[in-house]
Amino acid sequence: MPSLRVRWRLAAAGVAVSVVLLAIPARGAPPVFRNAGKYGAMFSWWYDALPPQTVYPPTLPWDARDQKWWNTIVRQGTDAGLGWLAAACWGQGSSADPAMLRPLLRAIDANGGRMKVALFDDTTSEVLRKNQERHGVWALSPRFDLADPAEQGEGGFRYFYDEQWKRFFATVPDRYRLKINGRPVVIMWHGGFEWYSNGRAFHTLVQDLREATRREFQTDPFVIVEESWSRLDPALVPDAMYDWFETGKNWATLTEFGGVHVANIVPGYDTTLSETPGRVIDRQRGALFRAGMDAVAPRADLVLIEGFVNVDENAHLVETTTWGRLYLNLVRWYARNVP
Amino acid sequence: MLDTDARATYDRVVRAILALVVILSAATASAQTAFIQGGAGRDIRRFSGDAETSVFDGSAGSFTAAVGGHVLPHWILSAEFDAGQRSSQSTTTTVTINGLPRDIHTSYASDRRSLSALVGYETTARHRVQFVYAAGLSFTTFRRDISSDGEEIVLQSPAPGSRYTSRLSGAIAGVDTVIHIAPHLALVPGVRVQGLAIDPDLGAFSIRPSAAARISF
Repeated sequence: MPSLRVRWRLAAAGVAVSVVLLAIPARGAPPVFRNAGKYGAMFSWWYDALPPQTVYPPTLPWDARDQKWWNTIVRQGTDAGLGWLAAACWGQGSSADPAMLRPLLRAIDANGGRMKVALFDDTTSEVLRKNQERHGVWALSPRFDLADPAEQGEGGFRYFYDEQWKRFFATVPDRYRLKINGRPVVIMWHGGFEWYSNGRAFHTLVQDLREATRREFQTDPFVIVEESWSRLDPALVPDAMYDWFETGKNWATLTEFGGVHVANIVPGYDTTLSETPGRVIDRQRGALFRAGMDAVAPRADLVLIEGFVNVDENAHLVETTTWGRLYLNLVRWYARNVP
Repeated sequence: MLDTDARATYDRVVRAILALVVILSAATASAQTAFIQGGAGRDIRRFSGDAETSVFDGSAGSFTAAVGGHVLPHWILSAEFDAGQRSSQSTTTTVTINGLPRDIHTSYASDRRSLSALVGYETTARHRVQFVYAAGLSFTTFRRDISSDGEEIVLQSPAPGSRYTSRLSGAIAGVDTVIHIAPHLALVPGVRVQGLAIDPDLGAFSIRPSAAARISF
């Protein structure tokens, strides 16, 4: 029998090996922390009936005035493994006012309470609302002056904050918000040169929006902007960026900024019943979506799918009479295997 | 990417297991007999969901190392390290891009390593054979590597691939057959079964048959 000293040495060696094994760090430590899964999808709610341009009709009655519609949408999103929805907001007075999101919160509660919500600021809406109010036209001209927060000319801070961000944060309580590093996510859509003037003032606008949100809601938004803004305003330093898909060019993108990878992908697109010539991205029976997800999902920290309910442009994922639950199952597969 | 709550839980579990390993080792050091053993086997991994589409199901070689000893007659404490090698599967998606059919290949590989603290009950020897029924706690690092040429084909950018590391803790159980072939040497075929709760939506089992050589002191 070995002495007690020998046994202690063996035991100590075992402990040392264990400690070394546990101390080996994981490669590529994550730079960001989310409070939900990485897959999310665009969500809109201005429907009182199925639009006539819908080629692929959903299986559920399409009426957002009915709470059952919201509940079913969130249930399908949960079934698909979505961690969050990006509420496509058009601001006060529109049919996509963020103050109208309370049915979504009830639907989330009715489906387990895990789904999170991000503010998606549709940046055409500020231009449209300004022109509706100032010129009586729902149009993108005249352009919105980003260097005019005090509304001396064709601008106004309130179109972004009071009529959009503030109403979202006042409506969607903290526990429902998608967060990165503890900060609620706000996604901003295109910065079109044809819609906005003095684009170089955009970084000041974002700073002011964050400051106003901090002051009023005691939270600092994590702002993810479409990459076009960085071309309008080289001084812009957002928290992350993404590149919205473009028909005829791509259907899946992956953008890295600040150590955060954000993907954008569309399962298909078809506007042949709403415009001439129509723009089409052929779904190829799901193959296009699979190929795009294979390309962008592994490295993405967030995957923004356009869109969950976009029947207007036939870019939806929800269950339809055409493809059944194909896209819900595909998203769920990626959510499970490519986390 | 872990959320902050999961990371805090993970840290607490790691500290608890480390403490347990230290206690185990100390107990083993003062035991009536101690042993070290090493061996090899297979790591059979099966994931939840449809088996036909489960890309991380696989089987790979594994090796084990353990230290332990009796703390009471019939009762054994041990600390085990077990590493399953890499298994992989690949998928192919055919898609038409700009009118041309393209195949996108994606590889899904995984490996696992575990450190476990086990308590075992050892039966009385009969014809130089004893059985040990063991259970305990295991701390596991499960890694998934995903690489696809889709990024090159679809995005026209390099595809370095991605690694997802999950730190897991949970119960482990097993059975060993200790066959004494010399005064201080035994052959130990055994099996370990361990659940892996990787994500809320993804669970797995690791079943590990192995054979080891044990030296007793």
